[in-house]
Amino acid sequence: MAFSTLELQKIARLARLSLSDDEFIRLGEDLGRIVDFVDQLAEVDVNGIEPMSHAGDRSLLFRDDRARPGLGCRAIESSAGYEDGLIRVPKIVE
Amino acid sequence: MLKKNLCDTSRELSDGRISSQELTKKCLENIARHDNELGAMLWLNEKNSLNQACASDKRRKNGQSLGPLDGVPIAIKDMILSTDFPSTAASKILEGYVSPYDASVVSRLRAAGAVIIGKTNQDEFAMGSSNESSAYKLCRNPWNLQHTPGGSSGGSAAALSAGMCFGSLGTDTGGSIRQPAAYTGLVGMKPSYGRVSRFGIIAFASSLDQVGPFARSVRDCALLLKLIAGFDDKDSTSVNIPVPDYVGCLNLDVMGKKIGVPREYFGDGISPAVKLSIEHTIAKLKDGGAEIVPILLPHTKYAVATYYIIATAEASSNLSRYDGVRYGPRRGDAKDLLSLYESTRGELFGTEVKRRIMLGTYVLSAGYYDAYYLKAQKVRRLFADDFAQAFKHVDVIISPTTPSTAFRIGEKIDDPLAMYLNDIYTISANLAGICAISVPSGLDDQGLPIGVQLMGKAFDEQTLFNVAAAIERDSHFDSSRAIMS
Repeated sequence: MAFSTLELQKIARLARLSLSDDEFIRLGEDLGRIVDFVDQLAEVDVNGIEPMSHAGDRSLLFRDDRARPGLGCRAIESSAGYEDGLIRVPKIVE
Repeated sequence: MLKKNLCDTSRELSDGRISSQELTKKCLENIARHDNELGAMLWLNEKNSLNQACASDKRRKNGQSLGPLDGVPIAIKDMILSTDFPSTAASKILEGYVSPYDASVVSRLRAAGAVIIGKTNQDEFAMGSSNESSAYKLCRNPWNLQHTPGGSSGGSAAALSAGMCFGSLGTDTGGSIRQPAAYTGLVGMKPSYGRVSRFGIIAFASSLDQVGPFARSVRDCALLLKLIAGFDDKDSTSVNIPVPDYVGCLNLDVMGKKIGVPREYFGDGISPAVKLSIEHTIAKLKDGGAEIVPILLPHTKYAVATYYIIATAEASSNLSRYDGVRYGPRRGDAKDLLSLYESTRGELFGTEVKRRIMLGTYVLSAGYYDAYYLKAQKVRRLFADDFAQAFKHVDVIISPTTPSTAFRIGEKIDDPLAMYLNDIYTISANLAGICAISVPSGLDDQGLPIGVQLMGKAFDEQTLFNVAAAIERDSHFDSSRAIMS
């Protein structure tokens, strides 16, 4: 299938990716071929089959709800916008 | 010294015939001499590695050895977080990022006294089968520098194969340990899903990712898995069942073992040399008393399609965290948050990563979710059912690891589908969550290694090690042949 520029722009916007005109052309061709390929799954009969999201489908394990030492500000120190224990970002509310 | 395998090296350390500092220096010298050409290592910290070696020598001298891995240089893939090196997943979007904590597998290596020699090259965010999508540099195959080492854990494979360490760790989401192991004449294992903690592993596709070892022998591989495997309460998908003593329980007798041969893995697309080598391996197993059982894995032809829907969907979600805010460098207009997100991601992700994020976003988007993502999850269950059915009749399943030996650099990079199809034999084990190993079986007429894959029931890695060790004994393969010195 061929993706229209509009469709590609919509996907890129959802994915928060800024792409050049050349990338739109190339990715559009690649995605078209890949989607044609994965479309072969349409022929598989999955009537009554439960979806499988995880191997083994084991129930997840939980830790005891106890406080443990954490990383604190060290967790965000590598951010390019790090300042005094906070991350500076552009204005988000007008 | 560099040609020895891990277990022999460990014995020499224990006997005092060599020191960890000597070993570590040798590995670092080999890296300095050859890695400009090979491209296996991304990040080194020589001083730190030598300090670790010095501490190990002191422990051994004082009779306080931490075990067989104490003082042995090990390399780890850049997907694995470690506080003493950058962790970038070979991506520009994480350039310069140093994690404030260690992955659980790194904590285990440290507790065992291993010397972490460096972080290895890989495909960006483990998305690739040739190591060509690394944002930093190309990695070559030490067996023939014009060929790829495979991927995505190409650097871990190349470094070990070239003698820059004595064991290494990779990650395997669709074959990223087994395929490079096959291409570089090594043993490589993808453990069962949940066997090894994923805590501190940069996530690609969380329901498929597993960490596993590369080694120059089955015994080395078993030793490494024993050290990194086991329950971890920091990973909610980690499974709390005992880890056997894989090395102590190694048993090379295949008498009476039922070996399944899936017809679907021997059809079109397999190279004659690979086919011949696997048939020869099967014949040897039969000579040893194994029972060869033809089996069917009828959904195999849908593996690549199923995988590329599920893996890209999960990746598009996992990689949404790289937005220029929390990690790494920033791009775009500092006054506009959306521009910051889109420009950072657009400029700093590579082509293959963007391709997969776009595909993953598409298959999860409104109107397409049921037709693609939900459908693929249902087909995934059919894979698990195929294996469950097969394992009622056989102990292990044998197949080629890859359809051909290592391909040339540049051969497939412009054709993403051809690259994806290279993973046809390895993907199913990840979809089903079972364990699988690649072990060398011989060389093709170009002198490039061929790998045999064994797949086993979930959490039955021991049987894989046993049968792999029998194949290793019969193949007389020399894994040290490509060591650069």
